[in-house]
Amino acid sequence: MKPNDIVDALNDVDPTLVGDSAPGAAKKKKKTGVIAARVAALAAALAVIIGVGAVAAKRAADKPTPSVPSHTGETNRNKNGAPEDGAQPTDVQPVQQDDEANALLKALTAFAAEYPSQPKYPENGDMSDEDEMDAWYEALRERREKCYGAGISLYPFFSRSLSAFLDGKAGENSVCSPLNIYFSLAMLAEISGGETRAQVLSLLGANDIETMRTQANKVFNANYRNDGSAFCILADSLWMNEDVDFKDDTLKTLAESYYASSFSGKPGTEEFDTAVREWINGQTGGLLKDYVSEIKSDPLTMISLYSTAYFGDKWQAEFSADSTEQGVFHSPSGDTDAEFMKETNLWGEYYWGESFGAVKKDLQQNETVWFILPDEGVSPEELLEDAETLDFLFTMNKEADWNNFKRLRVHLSVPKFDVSSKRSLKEGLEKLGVTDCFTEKADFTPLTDTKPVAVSDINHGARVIADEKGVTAAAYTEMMLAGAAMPPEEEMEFTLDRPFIFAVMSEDRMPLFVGIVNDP
Amino acid sequence: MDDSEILRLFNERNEDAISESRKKYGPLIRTLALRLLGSREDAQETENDTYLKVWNAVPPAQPNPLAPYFSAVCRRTALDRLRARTRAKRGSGVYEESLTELEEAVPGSDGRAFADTLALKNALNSFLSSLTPEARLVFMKRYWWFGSVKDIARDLNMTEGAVKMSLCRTRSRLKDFLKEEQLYETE
Repeated sequence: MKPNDIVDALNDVDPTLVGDSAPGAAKKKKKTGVIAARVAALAAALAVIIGVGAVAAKRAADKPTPSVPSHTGETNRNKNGAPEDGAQPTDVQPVQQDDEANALLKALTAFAAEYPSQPKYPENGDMSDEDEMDAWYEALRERREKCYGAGISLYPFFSRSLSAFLDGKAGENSVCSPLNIYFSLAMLAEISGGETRAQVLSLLGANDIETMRTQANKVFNANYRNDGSAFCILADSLWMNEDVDFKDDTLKTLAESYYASSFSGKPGTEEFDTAVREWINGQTGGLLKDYVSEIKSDPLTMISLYSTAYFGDKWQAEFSADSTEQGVFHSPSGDTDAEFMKETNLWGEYYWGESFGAVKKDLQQNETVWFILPDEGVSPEELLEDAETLDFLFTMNKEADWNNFKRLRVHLSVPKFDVSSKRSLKEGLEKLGVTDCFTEKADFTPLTDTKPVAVSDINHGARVIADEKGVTAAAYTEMMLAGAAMPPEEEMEFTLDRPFIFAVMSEDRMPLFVGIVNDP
Repeated sequence: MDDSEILRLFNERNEDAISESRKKYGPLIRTLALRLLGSREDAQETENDTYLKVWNAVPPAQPNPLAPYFSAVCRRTALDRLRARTRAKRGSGVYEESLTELEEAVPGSDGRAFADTLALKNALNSFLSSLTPEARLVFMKRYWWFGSVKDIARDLNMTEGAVKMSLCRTRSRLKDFLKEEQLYETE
């Protein structure tokens, strides 16, 4: 017998084993695993705004907060699934303002951060230029080796805080980016001192600021992507009142560790507000335009932190547009029509817990979207406080040793959705023990000696759009699913026609976006 | 386009079957061929041969799902092409590496002909199903898909050391297994 005999005999083993081990069949994708040539997309954007003003000016700064476009079902989408006012996934740049806006931002820049440069992904995953593909891949591999898994110690923070961040009005859609809130809070810790900082560090589970700084930098590098494949643009900025003295060392740390640029100007002026709006629109592909257009700074604001996340990727396997069907979504406020995207996965994976059932769908560049359907009688909001569900969501590779798992043919049915929400995180953070920064006890000495200052509010606006475009597939009748029951057959329907949770997880399982869809 | 739709095109002898297959499975089989052959030109030809072979086989064959089928045809075609080359031209390190590694699993690897090909195929099937899912995945990624240790480690979130260790254990289990099954010729 020769080794060749084994190699040859392997050719005829069970095809299921072959499929399961194929590059791209597991949750991790090969660099060339670009199977869906057609465009199907998921786009998301978020902005976190932290305003720090003089305590005396607190009331003035507590102006009615601008609102996010609540439900933009009629948004015109371009071929990438992003709204017409958004950027193309392939040409998004960290800052893509026009010349005028660029000049304005440049004039106000106090400390410019340099984003990590990444080799470009060959267009459409084309392998014909090996050098190009290799350069891209090597850079990715290096980032993985250095940075992946750096955020594992943040899982308790995500578990504890998720329901506070998604605590909207019952029955409404709710979206947040836990990862981006983490960056905002990390920056808040960086610019604060004493007990103010200690409270934030304690929430984030960090022992000291140095550890957190290193971790934040790694988590950023593991997730930031602007190489023409998918994009995940994380951006932070600091906006200062030019009348106040700020400490350069801290600005430098923010630029180097958090890639946060600092700007300085006169809050309350049209110039200042335009610059802020241009900056946010540039970082979020215009996805939050309606929200951003209402941003107006208060002249007494000393400093604002703006933190954004902008993400887009295509489905690994597209939904076929021809099989999309009108259906009824059972929203808490009553039945409503929705367009259901459908697919059948022959090697589907179904996970379940005491109160939920879950199916995942992969995006091309290694991110995964989990669809989690609470059992009948359980609301998504309740589920986000359920220890088992949180454990399932926030544990690295949890599905690998999850007992309640079955591989079977899954007929998945997901409503197209475009959900957004906007809320203050202040109350939620206070509940989680971050209180001092909002009061006169606030200590911002690492950034400025001017006193007294306090955070007036922390606002957060996010929007996620899931869409499809494709060809044909068969349609199946729908059936209600009792989530906790083990699937009895080799085949099942997973129909998200009542409120559900979605979670966009990065390759190293950081929650990029999590949301509750009560009304798609 | 889903598999049954592509299958329908093959059955109707509609040449769109090829372009749709290329669209859906091109990257997958191109990667496999490139790994084995190490040359883009050869990989391209292998890919084309694969479509032709599937075209000739379907119908009557009705493979569904198609991914493992396309991959298996491509793998066989690429191996044939590789063996037809002269040694000097051989380009694929990972194939040579795999053979060297597999020698550990073949106790009587002195070039004697193997007794029963069919028995070996069946034995491999039951051997693979006796492995833990992870060990099986690592083994298949290495010896079916000819992935590099580095790639496998990345795909499965393991260290390279862990992948090598897993492969080493599986090879030694395979050796024992083949001994028990008496599938090699003893002295």
